[in-house]
Amino acid sequence: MKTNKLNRMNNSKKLKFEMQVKYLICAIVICGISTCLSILLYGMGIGKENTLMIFLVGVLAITVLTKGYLYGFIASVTSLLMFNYFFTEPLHSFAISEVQDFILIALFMLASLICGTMSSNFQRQTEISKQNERTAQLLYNISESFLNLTGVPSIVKNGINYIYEYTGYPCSATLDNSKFDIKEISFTTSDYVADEYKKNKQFTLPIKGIANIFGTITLANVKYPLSDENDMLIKTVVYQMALVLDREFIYNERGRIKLAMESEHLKSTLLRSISHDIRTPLTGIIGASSLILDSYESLDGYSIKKLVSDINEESAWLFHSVQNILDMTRISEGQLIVKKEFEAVDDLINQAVTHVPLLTTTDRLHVVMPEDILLVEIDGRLMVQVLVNLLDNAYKYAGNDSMVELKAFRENEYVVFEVSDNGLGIDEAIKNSLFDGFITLPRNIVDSSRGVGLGLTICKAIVDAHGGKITASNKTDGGAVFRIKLPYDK
Amino acid sequence: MSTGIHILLIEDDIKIMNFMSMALKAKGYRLTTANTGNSGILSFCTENPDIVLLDLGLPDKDGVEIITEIRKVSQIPILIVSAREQEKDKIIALDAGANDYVTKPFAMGEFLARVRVMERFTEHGDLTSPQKIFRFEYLTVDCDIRRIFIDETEIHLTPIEYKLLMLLIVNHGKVVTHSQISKEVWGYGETGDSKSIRVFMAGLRRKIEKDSSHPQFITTELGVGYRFIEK
Repeated sequence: MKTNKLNRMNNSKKLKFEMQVKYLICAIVICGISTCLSILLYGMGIGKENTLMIFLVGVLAITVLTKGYLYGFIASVTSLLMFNYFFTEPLHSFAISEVQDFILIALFMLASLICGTMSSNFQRQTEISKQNERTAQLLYNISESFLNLTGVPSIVKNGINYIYEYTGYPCSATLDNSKFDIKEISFTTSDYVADEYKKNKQFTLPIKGIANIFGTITLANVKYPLSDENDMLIKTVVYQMALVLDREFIYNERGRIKLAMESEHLKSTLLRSISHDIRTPLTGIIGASSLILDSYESLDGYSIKKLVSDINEESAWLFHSVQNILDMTRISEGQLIVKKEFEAVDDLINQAVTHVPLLTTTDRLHVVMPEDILLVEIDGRLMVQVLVNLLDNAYKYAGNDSMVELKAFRENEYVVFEVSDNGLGIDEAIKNSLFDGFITLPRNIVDSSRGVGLGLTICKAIVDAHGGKITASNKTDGGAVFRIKLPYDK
Repeated sequence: MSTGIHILLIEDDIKIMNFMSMALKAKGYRLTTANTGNSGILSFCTENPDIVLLDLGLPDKDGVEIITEIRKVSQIPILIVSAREQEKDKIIALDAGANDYVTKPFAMGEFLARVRVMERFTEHGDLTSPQKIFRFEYLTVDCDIRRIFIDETEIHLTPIEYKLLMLLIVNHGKVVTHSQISKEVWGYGETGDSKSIRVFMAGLRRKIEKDSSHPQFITTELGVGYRFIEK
């Protein structure tokens, strides 16, 4: 359907010549018919005034069938001459002797001219309407073609190809690479050759969006002045392109802003944790050790031992927190490397359990191993950290007498780890934002809340990075359960 | 057994060197210290110690280099102290010839236990006279007749499981890396089928432990290998 305009131009020249020949033949034939018909009817006794009507009809027919009033005019004159020759006194001559014949002829001329003109105008209007319709359709097609495109290269290529197809001018577009993060910034149609000398035969337009100029479009080998149709087409394409590029730009901006916000979010969580998870154990360590130093003589052996044991315990918490913070920093910088290897679930559980002596020495931990030996492809160190964080969380917040259970089993194509307790359960208000690291609670329960600190946020980040899922819920008979689902394929 | 054993301690942090020396001396070990890699190698050549304690993060020389140099001339037991937590560094050091490791920060009990294990691997250690019957709590292993008993009941192990158990027991207290297991049990080069190792190990554990969730004998060193506990 879309033929190159150059070809169309060549074709139309040929067409025009053919048309002219057709019209000429048409005119001659119809004049001929009118003349013969008139003579016939005159022979049958119809008056010459009536035969004039036949000529008039002939002229009108010719005007309608041929375009423009050239042939119509020729036909009028020819008809006139025929009428003069065959029907006016003196017969078979071009002289007119009677005045009424002269008046008839004059009126005939006038009538045919008026009718010819009107009919010709009418045709032209129709032509213009059709042309307008075609243009409107074209503009609609341009708009529609941009509608579903995404990606800057395809948008730009679509634009310059349209211009090339319809105007025939080779076209190139150059983009400003500060606006979009793309590799190619220069696009050309197939026969565009950058030509320095013929600058005056180039036509350049900026691609201007709402607030940004995205680049420029240049047409080469342009014949000035540009036809109205071409001018309108080029401008329409460029405006549409700018509109769609605006859309792309805004969409990308939105994505960037979202990422920046998430990064900020992680950073503030990090800071909050550093404050809480480092200061708190340090307070214990500094407090206990300074007490021993200051009051060594007056303290009994039992108290000293207890204080030293506290220092030991707080130090372990501190070490654990530092590990969490390091991992969190890596996550927020996008640098968390997950090195996957096949590990046995048995081994994971063993390793995790050794890191929670507080639970094992007080006999508060119950472990349920999977029935079969299961292998999961994971980063062992990270996954152990997740389990330790969950066990730690349960130890701290489930209440002093609660039992904690670590269970692992296979469920269809998943390996599931469950850390549950029979303690206080999760506050409904924070249940859905436990893993966000962004718990906002009234000040007086900050320290005793389950969600504060990095532990759970890190759990989620690590589990997500393994393609798994972590959820928290309350058990029907009291207590909380944290569930990790990891994909498992044998 | 500890008295008279000569330990060379190569560590650059003064405070850590202090408390390590204190603890080791209290246990009766004889101590030589060095705070750089080069002076450490020098001391090794001149002082003729029985055990080397090496910190991996020395300022002047890479720990693995030191291990390689020592191994060129001696099979002396080397215990590495590493602050780096990454398993990769530990494995490289162990594959280069180190016998065992402790990760900073460590508890004193664990540290001293590892040193004690190293004693067995010295020239005068009891490794030179191989035992025939091993008894650990309720587990009895008789190498002569190749039978294993839990309490008084015999348990049956597959040939591979038996080889695994023996490898762990002979090295009891010391870590056995995946590549060591691969080589000794399957005869492969460095990379064996890591899945099989884990599966067989878990299977062995389930057979010989009374409660495999709280293992008494075989502990996991994730990413590195396994250790048969020294009791």
